[in-house]
Amino acid sequence: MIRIRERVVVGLVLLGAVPALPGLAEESEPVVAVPGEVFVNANAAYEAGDFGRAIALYEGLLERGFETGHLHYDLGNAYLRGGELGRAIASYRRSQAFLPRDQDVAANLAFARKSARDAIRPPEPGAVARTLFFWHYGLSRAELGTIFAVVNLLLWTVLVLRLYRRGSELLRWTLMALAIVLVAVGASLAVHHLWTPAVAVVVPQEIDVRSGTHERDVVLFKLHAGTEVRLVDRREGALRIALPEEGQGGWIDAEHAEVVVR
Amino acid sequence: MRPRLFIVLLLTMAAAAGAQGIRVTIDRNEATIQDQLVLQVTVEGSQNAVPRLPDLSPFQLRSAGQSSQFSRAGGRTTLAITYNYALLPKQTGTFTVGAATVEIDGRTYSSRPFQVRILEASAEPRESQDIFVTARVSNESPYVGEQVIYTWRLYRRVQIADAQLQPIEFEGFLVEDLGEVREYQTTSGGREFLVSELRKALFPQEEGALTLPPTTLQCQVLVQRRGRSLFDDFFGRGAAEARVLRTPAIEVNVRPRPAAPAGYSGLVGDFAVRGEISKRQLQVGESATWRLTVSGSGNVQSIAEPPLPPLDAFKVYDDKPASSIDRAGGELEGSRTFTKALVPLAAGELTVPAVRLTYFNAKTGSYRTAATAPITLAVSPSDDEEELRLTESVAPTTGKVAVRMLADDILPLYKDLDAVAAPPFGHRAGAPWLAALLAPPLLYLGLVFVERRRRHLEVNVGLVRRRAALKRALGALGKIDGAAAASRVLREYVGDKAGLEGSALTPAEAAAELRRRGVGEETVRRVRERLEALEAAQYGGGLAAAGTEALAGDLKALLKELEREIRA
Repeated sequence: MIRIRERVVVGLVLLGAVPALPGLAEESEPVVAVPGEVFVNANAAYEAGDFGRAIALYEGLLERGFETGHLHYDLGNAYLRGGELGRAIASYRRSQAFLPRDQDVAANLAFARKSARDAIRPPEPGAVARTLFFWHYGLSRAELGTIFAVVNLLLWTVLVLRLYRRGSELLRWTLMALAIVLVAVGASLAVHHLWTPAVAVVVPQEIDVRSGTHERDVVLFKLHAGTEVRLVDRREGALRIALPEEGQGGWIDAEHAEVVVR
Repeated sequence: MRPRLFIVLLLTMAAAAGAQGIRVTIDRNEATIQDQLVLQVTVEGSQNAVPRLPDLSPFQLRSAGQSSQFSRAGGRTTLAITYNYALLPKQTGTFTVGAATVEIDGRTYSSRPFQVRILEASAEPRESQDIFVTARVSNESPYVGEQVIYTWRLYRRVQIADAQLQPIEFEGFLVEDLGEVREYQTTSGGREFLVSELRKALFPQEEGALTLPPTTLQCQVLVQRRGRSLFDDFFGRGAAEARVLRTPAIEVNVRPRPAAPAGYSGLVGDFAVRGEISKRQLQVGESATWRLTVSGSGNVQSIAEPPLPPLDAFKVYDDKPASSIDRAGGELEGSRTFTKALVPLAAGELTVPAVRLTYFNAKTGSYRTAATAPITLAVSPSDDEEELRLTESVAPTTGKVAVRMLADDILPLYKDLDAVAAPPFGHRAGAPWLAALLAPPLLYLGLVFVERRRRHLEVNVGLVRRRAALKRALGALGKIDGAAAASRVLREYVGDKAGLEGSALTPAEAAAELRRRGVGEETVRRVRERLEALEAAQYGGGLAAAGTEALAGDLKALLKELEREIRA
């Protein structure tokens, strides 16, 4: 708590200092490692319209391990304002993995998708699946993990209590309920870890989708910036993708797409 | 004198330049205002020179294409380009058409001026003509705002083509169309005519003299020419004759209205106001629909809601007014209906008072007031909550408007510093998480084990005694003060192991129990001898203090030997 408060103070001081000393801000970044400062500088660069700098600073923070949904969201904004639709959509998708219920992220992702040229529906789970497995789609991995740990603790606590209160009906029902929750959340976590559908977002304005990994292979069709497709396979600098509905697919250059793993 | 000189000059110039120059001809020098004249401007000796036309303001000029001719004279080929124009006279009188000029190879050539005389249209009665137009107004001295019907008609007994009526500009009037052009047949002067009729409702906006402009209709009259050839007859081909038909300007003297009384609605014409209510018996809080319709002829587009009397006994909710305008009839008619939901606030006999509408009746030249009849409602007390009903009655009648999105943009940055907060377990959350998962089951298993053991021991007291026998014996051994105590420790040990009351055992019984538990004969003999020796010492004489410690050490060794042999 104290640490956070200190950061806020540092951030506020810097926020005031940045416009007054632009030279200092530019030179001091590599030296000063306080993430709050870098973040504030990145926000200031974004507000000033210097999206390239904002992107570099946000990316730097992500590389240092400060991976949060909000950071991905801000990076997505910077990419979108900077004209990089594909990377913006990829960032919003990553943000959504952390913040699945955040309205802002959903709104900006929807906004970005409007600019995509190809009339291809992004690979998203259906409404029925979303309703049936609401916890799977509505909770982030971290939240699922926390819930799993807490429910696990409660379940074993109830088991311990049952050692001393053998006949308690309340404990029996509580135990069953906790067990159901634990299985549901555990299954969700298992799906997240073992079966991770990856999505590739097209970054350049236009790319060729070929029948194979080689340059001389036939161009099957073309995709445009911001289009989200399913990633089926990866091989030697190439990605095999599939369109969500039509079932068509092909190989694209790995550098031409941002891969997002939910 | 002058024309002759000009011709001489022209000829001189043409000869000098090798047939260069400009020539202007007109098809006739005398015509009526209904006729169309053809003007030809011919430029000789140049393909590109553009002639400059003289002032032709008394006419309306329309280009009718151009043609070119080659002519050969004296071994020379001359090119002549003829520009054709149609002239429509605007007024009567004698006009001089000035010289047209053209510049060829740096020299300026001029044509000869000439005169044209435009006469009045044929004086013969219109009915004897084959085609004519008329325009008239229904009232030449209307009041300001009074409806005036303007009627324009084309009468014809011949076929026409390309009829074009120039747009009529009514300055000082508000104009409303009265339907499309109507076509009908009529008989005039004993002859049948096909009539095209155009009607407009005019509303003068200012007082004083206003002028409705003359109208001009251009058309081609098809004249059948017979007998030229079989071919022409077969296809009915005839010559087209251009005609310009006009109507004169019409003066309208607009009169001011008398001073308006208070509450004047601004309407001029003939109007009525009608009030209807959907039901006359209702409950408090229930709504009745009140329709107020203002209808009539005149400036119906200006109908506004008449001033309402105070309706204190009601809550009033407005709906959108509905308008209808009828343009198909002889004049502009229409109505506007104002719909309101009336919700009585109290029970009893309530009256919706009369609504009055004051308008100016142009026919009588006076202001009139139309009124609705008062409406009496029988209102009974409410069964339900009034508010509930109110919301029901209001919802469908209020005109909701969809929100219009003006722009779309992304939402702003997230600026809280927790966006870069370190994760609670550092960057590698796996290990603590796994520990948190595994700790509770391990704890549980441990507790289960402990509990099982405790319960097991609880049911088996003998086992506890057997297990704790040595411990108890060794503990007691440190406190022995004589042979009796030492004997008791040994006997109780055997008793614990056998599940018996140890202090009551005789040496023989103790030996038998030990033997039963598989202790070797040698050790059994030693125990028995020791017990017997201790009994003898107990009753025979005291034990020296130094001897007590030696005894305890001896017994300790014996007990451990026993424990080892019993367990084995």
